[in-house]
Formats: sequence, structure tokens, C-alpha cells
Amino acid sequence: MTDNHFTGFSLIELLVSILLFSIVMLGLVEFQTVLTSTIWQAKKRHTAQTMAFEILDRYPDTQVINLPAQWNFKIMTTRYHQCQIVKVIIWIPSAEEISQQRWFCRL
Amino acid sequence: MLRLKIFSMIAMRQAFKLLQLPSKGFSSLQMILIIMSLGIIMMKTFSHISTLWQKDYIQYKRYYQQFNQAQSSIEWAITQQWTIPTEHWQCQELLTYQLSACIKVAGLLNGEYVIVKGEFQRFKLFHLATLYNGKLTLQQGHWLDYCPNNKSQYCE
Repeated sequence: MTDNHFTGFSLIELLVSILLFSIVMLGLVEFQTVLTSTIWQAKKRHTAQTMAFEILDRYPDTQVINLPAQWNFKIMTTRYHQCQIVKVIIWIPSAEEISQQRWFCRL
Repeated sequence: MLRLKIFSMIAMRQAFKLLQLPSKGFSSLQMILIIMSLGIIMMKTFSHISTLWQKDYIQYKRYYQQFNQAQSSIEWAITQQWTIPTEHWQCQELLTYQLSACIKVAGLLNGEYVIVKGEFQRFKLFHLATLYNGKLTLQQGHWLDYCPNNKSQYCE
């Protein structure tokens, strides 16, 4: 068996390798994009939950709450006999809204 | 001498050929396999981190919900009429809003204080209060999210 026997396969092999590499890389890039987005969304929702909790803790003094840019919050109150049911809703861009509620009966 | 030189040259050539042969033709595929393996390891790590973040988020969300409900139960409790507290829990519930509050005499202090317990899905919040004419008055800042007594059965 001489060296000439192996030389004919290198181009096909290279092409197959490039094809495989491209498929694998495309898959990996797509997967990483989805994962990064998931992590980022989870982080934003986590921050929103903490902020909603903080707003309820500070209620009715909610003037000092500083939300990140483009985030909005709304406070809705419902009466129940002597109590107020306070619901805080936070809207985050490109994510679902976050809400928490608590009763206040000593206001 | 010349024969030895020729022999050594042939031997070196053969050895060089032997060394070259195994890597010939597979280097690109080997590289692909290495990149794929590294990529899979990287993705696995990312996936693990993502799962951890999601779990962390769910735990925090549940904690906030439970805390808010338990705190709401305590707030609601102060609007209710209570009878003289004993050493056993006396409870009231508002099922529509899943509120549940109980009171009992505070064992560690003199008889004028009561412990109010707000409960939601096994999460308990305790608050020190006083009872006057069947109405509770909460003591500012005196709350705990664990049993205020050294014996856990006291809070069951």
C-alpha cells in the first residue's frame, strides 16, 4: 500500500467535515441563544418579584421605588370590610407581567 | 560505512512514514469530534445554569407568595373578634381568600401577650400581639418566620 492510496480522500473528507462542523455549530449557536434568553428572562422575573415584594413592604410609601428603565408598575386596591387588598403588578418589556398581593388592615 | 548510512536513512524514512500514517486522513474529523465534545460540555453547563436559575426563581416566587399570604392572614386576624386565648391554638379561616390565623398565649412572657400565627401552605409567620376586648393589637416589629418558642411542638 502506497501513500497515493490516501491522497484521494482528503477533499471529500474536508467537505464532509465542513458540513458536519457547520451543522453542529448552527445547532450549538441556536441552543446557546435560547439558553441565554431563558437565563436573562429568569433573571428579570426574579428582580421583578423582589421589587414587587419591596413595594408591598413599603406600601403606602411607594414614591421611592426606582424601577429599571422601561419597567412600569401599577398598584390596585380593593376593599374588604376594614381591610385593603393591595395588588402590585410590574410590567417588564418582552416578558410576562409579575404580580403580588397582600392585605393591609391597619392603614 | 556507506551501507550503514543508507540503511539508517531508509530506517528513518520508514519510521517517519509510520508516524505520519495514523494521523493521515482523520485529522479534520478528529478536530470536529473535539469541537463537538467541547460544545456539548459547554451546552450542558449552560443548561445546568439555566435550570438552577429557573429553580431559584420558582423558589423565590413561592416564598414571596407564602409570605404575603401569611402576612395577610395576620393582618386579617386583627379585624376579627377573638375569645380569651389559652395554651392551645384558637384558629379562624377565611376560605375565599385562603387566609388562616391562629392565636395562643405567649408562653415566654407574662399572660398579657398573645402569639398570632398566619399560615399558608406549611409556611408560618408569627407575630406578638396584645388582646383587648377581643381585638388584637400587633406589637410593631415583633415578628418571626420561625417558632418563637424553644420547643417546636409549641407552634404546631
